[in-house]
Amino acid sequence: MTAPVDSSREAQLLAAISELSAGTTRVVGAEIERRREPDESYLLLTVVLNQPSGETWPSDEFYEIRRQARALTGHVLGDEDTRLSYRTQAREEDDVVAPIEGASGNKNASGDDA
Amino acid sequence: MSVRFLHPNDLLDLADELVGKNAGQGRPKVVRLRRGISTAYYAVFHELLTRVVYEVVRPADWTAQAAAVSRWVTHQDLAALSKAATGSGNQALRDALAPVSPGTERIAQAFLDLQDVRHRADYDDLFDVDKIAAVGWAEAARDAVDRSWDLVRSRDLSYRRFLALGLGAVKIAKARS
Repeated sequence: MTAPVDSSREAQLLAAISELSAGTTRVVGAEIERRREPDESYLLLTVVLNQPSGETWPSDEFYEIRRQARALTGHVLGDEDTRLSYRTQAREEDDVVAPIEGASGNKNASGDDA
Repeated sequence: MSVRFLHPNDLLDLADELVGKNAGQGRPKVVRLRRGISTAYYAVFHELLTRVVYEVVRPADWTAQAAAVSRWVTHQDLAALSKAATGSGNQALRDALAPVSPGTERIAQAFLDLQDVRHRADYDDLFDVDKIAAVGWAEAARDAVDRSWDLVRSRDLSYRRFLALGLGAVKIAKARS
């Protein structure tokens, strides 16, 4: 279950995260939501990074962004259980499912070939 | 019964294959991306628990005894140690780990990040996975395993402290804090 988060601390964190960059890799967006599971509750911070020129972000730059994001999160939110996730801006070719041996061409609920 | 060691590098190769690294444009099926991320995490987890056992128990080879002790190394303990190595979490652990070398901090950071994303990959139906990030996680896992090998070879004292504390020390530190 997800729930919106609305507090000055989370707003402060999102603003700080949005300023992060390392080399050619930069944060282009950030979202935070409260997740409530049957046995736990935590904040999920999703960091959106720019499109890399290669297959993924340069390893050292991705590390530096992650290091800074986790440090900022700890600094602003303290001991609050916060989990970090990363994604990139949507790109059209990423929606084209690569042909996989044995794929039937049928679509399942996730939009993948079944 | 012979012991069949689950080699971290084999898991890394499988993760690369699942996320479609070097496979050109287009993305693999979502299930492959998610299993690839999970496999990348387990590569680092197995690397760490193996190193913990070799550091603490010092088996001559990977025997049934070593495999049994490796089960004592938990995801939660390694996460607590990794938090401490990256400057947060339990103060007693932070004191015990100091000073932390850059290589140890980078491995710890990778473990924490991969554990977060592995939970999403394994359990979160709202996980908006993409190939770019999945390949990034596979590379982060390989980077962590490679650095682990380098630190072991160079007998990095910070990394040895990290590994030595991986077997039971987290529970002791938490009980006494």
